[in-house]
Amino acid sequence: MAISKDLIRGHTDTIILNILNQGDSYGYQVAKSIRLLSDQQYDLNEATLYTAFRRLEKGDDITSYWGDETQGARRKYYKITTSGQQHLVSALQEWEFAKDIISSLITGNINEGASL
Amino acid sequence: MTSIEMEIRTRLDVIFSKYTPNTQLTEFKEELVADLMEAYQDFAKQDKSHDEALDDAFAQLGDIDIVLRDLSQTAKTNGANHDDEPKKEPFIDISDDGFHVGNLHIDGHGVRLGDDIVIDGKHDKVQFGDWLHVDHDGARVGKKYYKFDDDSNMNQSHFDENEENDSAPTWAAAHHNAQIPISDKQFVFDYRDATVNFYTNDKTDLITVDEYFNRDNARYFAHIEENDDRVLVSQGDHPLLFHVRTLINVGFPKNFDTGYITSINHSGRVTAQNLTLGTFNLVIHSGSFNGQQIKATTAAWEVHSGAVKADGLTFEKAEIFDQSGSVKLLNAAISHAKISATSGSVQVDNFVGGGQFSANSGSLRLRITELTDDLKLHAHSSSIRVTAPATQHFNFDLSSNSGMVTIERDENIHFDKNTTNYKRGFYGTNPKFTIDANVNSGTIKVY
Repeated sequence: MAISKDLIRGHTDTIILNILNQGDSYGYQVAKSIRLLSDQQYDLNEATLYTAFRRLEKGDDITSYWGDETQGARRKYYKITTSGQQHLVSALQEWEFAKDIISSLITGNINEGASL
Repeated sequence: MTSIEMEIRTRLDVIFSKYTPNTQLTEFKEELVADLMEAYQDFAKQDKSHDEALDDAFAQLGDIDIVLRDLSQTAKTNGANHDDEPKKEPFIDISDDGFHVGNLHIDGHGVRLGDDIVIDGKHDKVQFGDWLHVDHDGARVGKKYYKFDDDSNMNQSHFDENEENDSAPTWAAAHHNAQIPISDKQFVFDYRDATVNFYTNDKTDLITVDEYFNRDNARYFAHIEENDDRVLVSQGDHPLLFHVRTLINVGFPKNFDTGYITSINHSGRVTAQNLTLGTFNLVIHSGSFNGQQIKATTAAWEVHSGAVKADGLTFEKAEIFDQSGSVKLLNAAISHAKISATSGSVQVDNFVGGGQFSANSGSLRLRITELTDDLKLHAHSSSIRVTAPATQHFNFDLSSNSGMVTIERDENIHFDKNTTNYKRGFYGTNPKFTIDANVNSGTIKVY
């Protein structure tokens, strides 16, 4: 089973914020964390990831800085901002609120509801 | 700078060359270099050649052109009133700090011309286009490069999934159980809208069917009919107006290796694990298939819309067709395979066997451990990348109508025909099987 892109699209930013809220990270590592968190069920390619990084950076939800790797290429790290953390909290609240409603909307049956 | 980094930079230069350089693009390129180097290290653990790991690292990027277009346009809008010359940085600057003209910098640190020529005693390098690169660690001219020590550790990444197959889901309001004695008839499971899991039960000669519904109504339970040559298990009544969540767990006895099973599912996903059967056929109209450890003499899978993902397949003969979704197989031993995807990609890792593979618009990526028969590969508008067996000799016949064909073998290779888009010949002294690959408009690479 693969999660359809349409289904997960609205959550990309929250997913990234959740990962960065647990520590600064860089592109490839975030992609790996997503694979890990989803138990290898979801793969976000780097193109999508970087588009989201730009969007989040523009919205001041994250900032970036260059690492000081002594060997190899320098990495750009992303860091969640206070405003990003606030957005994460409200996105989580929204999700908690929405998930049960959506679930009953798509699995519930009219008869039981109609008797109310 | 290592040769890997240099090669990554060279390839990125080609991708980036379509866009007018700006700070954001340059920074993004640096970011990608670091990512790709790490991805390369990861792929190098499983891939056997340098180029192969590099291609895989780039393949996982996805379509970065979208990001590049975006970044180059952002700069355009921001700098709309400045025209060509950026205001912040003077075009010519001669001072005690050094001499700067455009991207030529001569100062206390050394001499730099953009990213192409750097002489600072630390990162010395010279590069011209994508055909000459020289730095401390080595030189690369055109396609020839000199390699360095790349350490590789073994660490397999794979997809693990654990599914509980024999317990009732929390939402279940009704449970219906049926047991069917095994026989040599065909068993057909026909569901319209359900999640169906196949597993191995603890019985010796019974097929168990457990159905779970989120509404309690006996009309939803499956009908079982039997005639001379088949047993048909078909989904019970299904209300048109509302959705009844349905989960079906089908267990087969352990050694049912003559079992002839056909599963039809119109909508919903199907999983199968730890099965040993004679025939395992699948038809899924809308939903994915996920399989683990499946052994059968023959298998025919037809998925119209959904992905096929499986690990640990042993089939003598298998036909897998996916119309709109990708096919990803890991550890597959299929003596006679016929695998095709119309609009998704096909990826097979650790393949033992032979047969036909085709992809119409997605890419074809095979890692072959051993060939036991000829291989015929076709892609219409994308690339084919094949890792040939490490030690086995083989014939090859590779052609592309408009793309490049490359085969990565330096020794023991004989060409009957060797042009940019057609290569035919053999590798080794005793080739038995042939890798035949053909693409219309993409490239072919054999590692």
